[in-house]
Amino acid sequence: MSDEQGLDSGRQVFLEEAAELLEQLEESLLELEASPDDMEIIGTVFRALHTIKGSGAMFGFDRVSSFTHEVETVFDQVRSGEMEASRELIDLTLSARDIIRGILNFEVGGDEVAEEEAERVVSALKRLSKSQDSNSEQADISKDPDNKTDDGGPQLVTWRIRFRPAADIFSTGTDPSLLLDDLNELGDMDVVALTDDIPGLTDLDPEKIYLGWDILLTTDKGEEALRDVFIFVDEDSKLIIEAVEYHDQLEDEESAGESIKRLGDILLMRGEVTKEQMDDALGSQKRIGEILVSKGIISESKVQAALREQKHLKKAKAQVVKQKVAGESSIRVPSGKLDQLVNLVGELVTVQARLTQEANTRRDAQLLFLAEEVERLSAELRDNTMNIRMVPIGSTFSKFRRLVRDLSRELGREISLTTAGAETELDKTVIEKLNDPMVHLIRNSIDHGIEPPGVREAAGKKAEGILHLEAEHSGAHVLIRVRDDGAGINKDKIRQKAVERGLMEQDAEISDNELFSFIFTAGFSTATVVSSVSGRGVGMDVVRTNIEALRGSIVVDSTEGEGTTVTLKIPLTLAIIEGLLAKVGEECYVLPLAAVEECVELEEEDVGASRGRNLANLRGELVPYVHLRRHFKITGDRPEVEQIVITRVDGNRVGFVVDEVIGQHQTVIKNLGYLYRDIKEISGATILGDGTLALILDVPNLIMETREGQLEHHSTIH
Amino acid sequence: MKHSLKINTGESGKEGVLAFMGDISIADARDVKGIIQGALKQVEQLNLDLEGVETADISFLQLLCASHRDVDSTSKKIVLNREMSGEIVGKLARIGLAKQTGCSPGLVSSCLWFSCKN
Repeated sequence: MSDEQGLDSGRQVFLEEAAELLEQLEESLLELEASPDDMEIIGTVFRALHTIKGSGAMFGFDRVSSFTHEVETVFDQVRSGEMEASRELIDLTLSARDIIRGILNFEVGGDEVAEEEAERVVSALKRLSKSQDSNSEQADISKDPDNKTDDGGPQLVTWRIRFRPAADIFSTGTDPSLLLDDLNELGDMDVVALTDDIPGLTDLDPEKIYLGWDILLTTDKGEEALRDVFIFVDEDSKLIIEAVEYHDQLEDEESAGESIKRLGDILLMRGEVTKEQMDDALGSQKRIGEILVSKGIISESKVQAALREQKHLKKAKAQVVKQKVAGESSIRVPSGKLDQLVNLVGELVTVQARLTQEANTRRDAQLLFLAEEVERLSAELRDNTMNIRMVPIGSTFSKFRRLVRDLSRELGREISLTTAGAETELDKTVIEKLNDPMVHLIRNSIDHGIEPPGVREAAGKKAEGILHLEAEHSGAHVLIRVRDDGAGINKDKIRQKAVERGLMEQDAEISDNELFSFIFTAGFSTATVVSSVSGRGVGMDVVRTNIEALRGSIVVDSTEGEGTTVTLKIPLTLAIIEGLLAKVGEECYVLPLAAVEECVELEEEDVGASRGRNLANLRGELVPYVHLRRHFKITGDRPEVEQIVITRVDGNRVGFVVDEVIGQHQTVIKNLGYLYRDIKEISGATILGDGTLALILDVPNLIMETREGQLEHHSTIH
Repeated sequence: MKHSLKINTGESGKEGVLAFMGDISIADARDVKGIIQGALKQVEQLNLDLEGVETADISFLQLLCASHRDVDSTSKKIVLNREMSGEIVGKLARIGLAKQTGCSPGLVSSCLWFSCKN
């Protein structure tokens, strides 16, 4: 299998996991900054580094592995209490995290990582780190006789069993091969027979045994169970059982590839060679095993046993990961496949609409029954497919912690970031597109909203400002709020700037909402100082453009001296919506069903007008409406009785007059394309059952455009 | 345990095919040693045929290792016929002999069981 990057699937999976781990690492480091003594967070940081290092090595990302090793070494000291999680360490580790991400990006064709920065971070980390003998990887392995994980479940351990039977073991009636068979029953076993002591045939006593065994056994059985196998072996036999690896000791052992020990390390651990012999051999360019064998330091079979151990550990670690993945009952699927699935469901929904229409036309009961079944199934399939794409917004919120932290420092603010509704789910595509607008809003809050500590204290506020991010569901939408307790928006400045730029008349009476909407105009900034963060008037218009591209809307609420809240209203999904299909002349339109409150017939006596606005009298309530036939200049005769679709937008009821309401319609949204990008009233199109197109109305924009048009008309005739 | 020895004269001198059959255990170990030593005295190359061996214990396999090691320093050869019963192949794997790549320092590929490597 090959993918775009030409990476095999394992490497691709590693890249995806590493991206998640780096996010988790950043999040944990920021938490650690607030609670530097929290061992749980320290453990999380360590594990993230540990896994990136180990898995990186396993999948050939040696640079990532070696760099991460340096950081991990320091955090190991923090974990063991030898070092404290100082601010400097957290700063350096955050920088290291960025460097790791850079190295990974480079591996898939990104920009080269600044080597000097990497060296600076490593040097600084080493300075911070206390000197310690790092050659003690076995330090933690002398534990846990019970073979239990923290939650009390069985723990997978790889054991090294050295068995040198007594020479006369045959005479006791013991067949060592049966012992090996018994051991094999306990788990995954690799065995290497040691033949070094077998003499030539002439010197061999055929009733004695000269063979010995080195066995690697990965099992959840305890040491006692292993010893029980040898219970009838006499005392002259040599039996050493030692744990090589506790596979669950790092709690979540995704750190599978970690500590795949090198052959030299294994030989040292096994006591086959001394440190001096190893150092001497390492001076050569040959493989360590070959060197040691050629120098007569150890036998080939011992090298083989060590190699077998290395291979066994790799296999065992991979197995742990596999089990963990299976245990979680989830799989990792490339997002492209999900997109493809959504497209296919979209096609299916379109075909289903045609089938339903055909069935209705033919009035064939059997066909109608089938069409209804297909409709039901395709609706379920659609909902399930869309649900797969839903991801919690929490991960996006978490990303902003770093942004807030770094900007606060840069701008000399003290800011606490709080979040709520992190579990709120949104379509993956929507979440991805939310990132940039959110960054702009946060930057703006920090730069223009939240005041410096001194200013805040002078105003009777706490020195530390609060930036709050929250999300909540609201029908078919999600509301995302960015709230700060800063200085708020100075309405007079906005008004003055708007007048200067000819956006409004000096004395015009406009609502706060309309006034605040000016800040989303291109080039509009009231900042007197342009910083690296904001103030150039670029950004907030980008926010509006991006949110509108998501078929969303923005509302700003601000109280001077108290703070500002920007609310983004975003549709849950961009792919398929429930719509209300309506007809005007020969044209069909879809109104998002989520916005529709009711449909009623519009009687002649219910129609009126006031100040240039169309008003309908609905059960005594005056509701402004947009007459779609007039608005879109559709020719032809109006029906005697028209219908009005009442929607609710931003708390206001607005009607849309159509010739006929056809009914509910599963709407697969198709983009109109680049040429139509400036048409705000239409958010897309959909294909109907008979193959014709229906335009999807962007209700809020349509209302706004209509209102502006009426205002213009009103001011012209005034 | 049964055995047979067939000797032919080939280009490299006398070659013998020593075939073992049936069940071979520690009780046969001394006999097996004598049979192999006797055969080696008669031939330059001894081809071991274990196809007919139904069961064998470690003592037998160890004897074959020792025989191989014995001839390693001489001009004689011992060659193992790859056709072996599943029982023997399985046993070699279970006791870790099949995975041997060498049986003495410096002779990486000299193991009798090398061809049985998994």
